[in-house]
Amino acid sequence: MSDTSSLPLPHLDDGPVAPLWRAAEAREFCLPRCRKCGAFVWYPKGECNQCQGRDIDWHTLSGRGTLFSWAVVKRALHKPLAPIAPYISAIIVIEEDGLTRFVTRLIDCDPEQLRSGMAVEVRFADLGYPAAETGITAPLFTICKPNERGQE
Amino acid sequence: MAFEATPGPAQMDDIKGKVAIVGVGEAEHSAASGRSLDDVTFEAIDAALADAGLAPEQVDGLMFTGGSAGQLTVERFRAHYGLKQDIWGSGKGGAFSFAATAAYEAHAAIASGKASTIVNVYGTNWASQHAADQGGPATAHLGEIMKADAEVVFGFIPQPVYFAHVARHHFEQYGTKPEQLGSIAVNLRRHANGHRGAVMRDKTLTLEQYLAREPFIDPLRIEDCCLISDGAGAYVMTAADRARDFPAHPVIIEGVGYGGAIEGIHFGMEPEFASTPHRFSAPGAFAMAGLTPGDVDVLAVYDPFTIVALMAIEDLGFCPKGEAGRFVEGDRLAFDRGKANGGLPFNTHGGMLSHAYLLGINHVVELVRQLRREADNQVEDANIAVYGGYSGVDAGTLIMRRG
Repeated sequence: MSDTSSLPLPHLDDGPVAPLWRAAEAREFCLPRCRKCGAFVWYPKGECNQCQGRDIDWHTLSGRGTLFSWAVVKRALHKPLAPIAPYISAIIVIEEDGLTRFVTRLIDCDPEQLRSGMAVEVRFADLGYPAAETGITAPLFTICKPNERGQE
Repeated sequence: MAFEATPGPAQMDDIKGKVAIVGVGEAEHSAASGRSLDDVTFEAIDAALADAGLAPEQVDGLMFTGGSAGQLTVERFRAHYGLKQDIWGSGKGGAFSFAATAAYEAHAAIASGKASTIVNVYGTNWASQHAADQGGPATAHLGEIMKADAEVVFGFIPQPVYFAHVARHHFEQYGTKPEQLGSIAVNLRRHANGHRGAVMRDKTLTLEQYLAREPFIDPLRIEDCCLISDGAGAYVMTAADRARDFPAHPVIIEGVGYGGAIEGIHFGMEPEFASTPHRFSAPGAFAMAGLTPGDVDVLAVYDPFTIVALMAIEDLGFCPKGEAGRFVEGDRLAFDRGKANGGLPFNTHGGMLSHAYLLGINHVVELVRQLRREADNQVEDANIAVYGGYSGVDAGTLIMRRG
């Protein structure tokens, strides 16, 4: 297990993204959503992009989506990330809204098999997975296996 | 007069034919040199003033990139040359998209009598800073809370990672191929090999060598990424009706356009992910100039990555969206193929990929030399030149004509 002391960690107690991380700790994937019109507001802002409503709360999602784009980082140029390299940086589209993307990492899958639009689902794992433990649970994603998908 | 930097296209008044570039200059560009930012910056200004036949005492306007750390200020400019005169200053100049829109701001200053002889300058010693671990292109991104807590922690940093995603999306959406990105890298390297000022003038690159290189942030190879350099560039602007008073052949500004990205630095959220804001900035500039992309003899585009160069060619209107992969194959971009033979001479100095990473100021300097017919890789009969400036969050288009 490599030294992960350098890994950048999120703010758990304050800041606009803290609710995402607190939800992940409870193994829930949550994003902010406008209570008035139902539009997702990611990244968090004070008001809804669609209706300018200001009543926004964090909504629990299915944790499913599709692969939008990805990059296989064989060498981390940002040195603090070196402990987790190589890794697959990914952007997914959430199942609930085809226009809302989420930046994450893909784990436990073969980069050679990836294609745009593949079904993905959340895997709550340590932010340093698989290299090491940071103690912080992160909403990472993996490719759905066809048979698993079929059983849902 | 000032345009608003908001998402989408900006409204800009017509400045066609009103501003001229009458002098250009560069520092000696290099990898990490240990030189200070002011040292390289003043070398470029000295060269531009000498080119225009001007003494520092005759300068009454200075433009720089206000948001870029350590850039020259009016105070340091005045102190360096021991100047007493009033000098109008603007931070909406320098490089990036500003290397295009500086002409617009300059015109406003000239028309209102605030300045008459304006130096626009950008310098960087990021190569030396990077070597000393003191910063670099990603520094500004690490401190932004949304990026820190929703991107950096997942490994979505720095710029090569963002643009590997963009390249992948372009590949998947339009069928673009690695060898097409390679064609950009190879053509620009060839240009650098023939250019005295290029950092990569002695290093050749073939498409075979490009393809043999293992991607390091797949699908990007090292050769898809720009250099990191120390260096500087500058150009001098005046009213176009004064241009004949200067020694060099004048270059006249015909059109300027500006457009902002929708999501700013949150690249992953940009609605048109495999596009650049050139699509917002180009139409206004071409309309102002009364020209179309088919009139352009030489193009220079802010090229931090081959994929950005490729998207810029589409978004500026040189080919339909999604078709730039096929468009850039072979020698289409070579300086010596030329418009008459179906070519689009492109980044004829080598761009940021192979000339120097000067954030676009060197692109404008190169185009001015092309239009004066004094470039190292001279494009035959170069009369119309376009610069596509970019910053990730916005784009500026500058159309110039041989006077």
